[in-house]
Amino acid sequence: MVDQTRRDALDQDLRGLPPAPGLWGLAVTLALIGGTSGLAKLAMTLVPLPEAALPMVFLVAVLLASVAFGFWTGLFAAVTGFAALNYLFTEPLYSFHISRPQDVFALLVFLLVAGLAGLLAGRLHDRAEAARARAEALGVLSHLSSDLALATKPDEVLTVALHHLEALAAPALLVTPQTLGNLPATAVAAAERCLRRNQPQPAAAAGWPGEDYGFLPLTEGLALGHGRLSGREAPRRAQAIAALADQTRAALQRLDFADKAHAERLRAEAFATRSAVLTSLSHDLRTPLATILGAASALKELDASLPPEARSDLLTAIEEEAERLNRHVANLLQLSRLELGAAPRRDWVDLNDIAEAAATRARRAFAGAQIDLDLGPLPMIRTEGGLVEQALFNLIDNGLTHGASPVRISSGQNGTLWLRVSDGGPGLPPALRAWLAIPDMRPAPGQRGLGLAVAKGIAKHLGGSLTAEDGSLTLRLPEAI
Amino acid sequence: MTRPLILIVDDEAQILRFLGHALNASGYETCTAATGAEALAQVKARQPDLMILDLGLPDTDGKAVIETLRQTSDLPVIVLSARDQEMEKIMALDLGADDFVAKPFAIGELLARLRVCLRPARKSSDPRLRLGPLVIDPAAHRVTRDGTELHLTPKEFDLLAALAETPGRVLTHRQLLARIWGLAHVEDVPYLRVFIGQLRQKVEADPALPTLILTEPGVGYRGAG
Repeated sequence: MVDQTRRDALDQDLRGLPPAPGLWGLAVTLALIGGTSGLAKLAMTLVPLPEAALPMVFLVAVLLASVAFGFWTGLFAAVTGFAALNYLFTEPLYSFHISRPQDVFALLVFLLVAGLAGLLAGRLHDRAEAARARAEALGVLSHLSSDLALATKPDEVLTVALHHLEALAAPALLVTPQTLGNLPATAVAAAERCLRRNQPQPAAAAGWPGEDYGFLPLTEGLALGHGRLSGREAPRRAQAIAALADQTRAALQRLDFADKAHAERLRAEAFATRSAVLTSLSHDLRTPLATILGAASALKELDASLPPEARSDLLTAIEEEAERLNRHVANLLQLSRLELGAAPRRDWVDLNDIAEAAATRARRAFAGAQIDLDLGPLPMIRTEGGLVEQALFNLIDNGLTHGASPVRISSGQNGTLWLRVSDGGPGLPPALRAWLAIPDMRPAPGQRGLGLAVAKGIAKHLGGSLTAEDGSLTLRLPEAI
Repeated sequence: MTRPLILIVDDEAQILRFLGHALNASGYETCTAATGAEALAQVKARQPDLMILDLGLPDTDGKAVIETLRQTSDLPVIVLSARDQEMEKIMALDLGADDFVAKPFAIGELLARLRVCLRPARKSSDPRLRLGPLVIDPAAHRVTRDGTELHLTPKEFDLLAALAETPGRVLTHRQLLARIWGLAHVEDVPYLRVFIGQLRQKVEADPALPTLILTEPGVGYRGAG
């Protein structure tokens, strides 16, 4: 297919008549022949020039004209050269009569040689011109593709395409169903046809309505318009414009695919978060539920055989597990709220008060837990106290569950305000520390409980951070927002 | 009579707590383990009569515990499984667990399974099996209901006999298929379903509401206990 196109382009160069000569070329040729004649006359008065040298001098002029202006001008130079040679230098002088038969022969040979030389030199000129034009079109296309590769938004792609189309066939314009009205009345029908049928619409033949613009479809409801192509370069330019439209279409499609891939990735991430939360939930909610249901059914079914202390222990278990369930649900709701990204409700708070409140709540929730406070002086800051308390409570819960009693809460200030929950344990395992360091909100794989995920989410939400050290976790909050 | 000793293996203290009270009140002694390694050590040290095993242990997979246990012992094992551990549960049963209870459960359900698993082996004086009103004679390949003989194909008979041999205990699809059709057919669950359907037509009073051959969805079948 591509080979066929290339061969067609080559044929285009070899077929048909060479381009018509320009007036400028003809004038210069006349001057050239005139100048040559004058010089030759002048030379003859100074030194006797052999008669055979004269046609050579004129041949040089013919070759020059051919190389500079192409085939037709070369032929014109040959004919004028022949006339000048005949009129000015052949006996009888200053007449087109030729008295000597050998002169007739010499002049005819000159005409033949000059014609042939002009033909060849002119052809060379024309091929060079065509190659230059093609290189120009290729240059436009190559710039186009590198510019398109850099474009990251559909708007940029279209700007680039219009810019290069302008170089090939001005004026370049973008056509959508909404902008049809801005086109010249004669072009509207073709543009509308192009959009509707999704097919290129070349400009109408010269002299007909719609001769000014051609149109190429890009995507649904989008087309490129360009000025009329004329002259010998028209077929090549049309090819370049078609290639430009193809490349633009491909670039738009690439961006579309990239968009879709991005959206798909976001969806997959949201899905992964949800499934991580679900996995964690199914464990966190099921265990208290199993205890509540089991203990309650035991109380009901084994009523007579249960000793009083067992009965009271089962009731305590039910109460504790119901509270645990309540904490899980609170964390779950908190996590959904954080994921929605609602702005924090900031108020002036003293973090030390919050630490005491969290400790009190934890002592109530975990009977027998030993929680020590070692609080340094802190300025008040504007933050959402409820969230900080929730995060601290989760850290205490974590310390009591996985570390060793007593849990100690300390606070202080160096650049940021910090609250540290330490326990006698070794601290978080390396996998969880790595998870803490990444901005991802979702719980780590295999992580039990949402407590740490919520604490991390809260730290991020309030503009602070949560970091792990050996045996402690530190929540840092900025002093000023 | 000594009270049977039950080993409870679960990493959740609260589960151990309520199971301990409930089993003690129901006439069992209990001991506990929080990890798989501890469980195997307890089996050796205390020689329990039955193990209740949670599949989600922190150190090892519950399945690995069963595999190790089955190399040396046929101690009855009841598996506690969660809804999202369906595959684990079936694999545990195929590895030799005797039955399962899905979490969360009411204590009555667990106690019923316990009783079935602790039931002493059949007396050998009577070779005939019983399933509800059915009397199954493996030697004569005869099944009677209230004295009337039922006509079963050999495969249907084998299926019924398998379920009647361990009344009240679940048999997985795999176990039934391997036993009756051979190991090459352990994946042919639809096949099994067809035969169960035919069998129910012949032995159940109301095949739409079976009382003798019960379905454990996704797991297998259970003969009425």
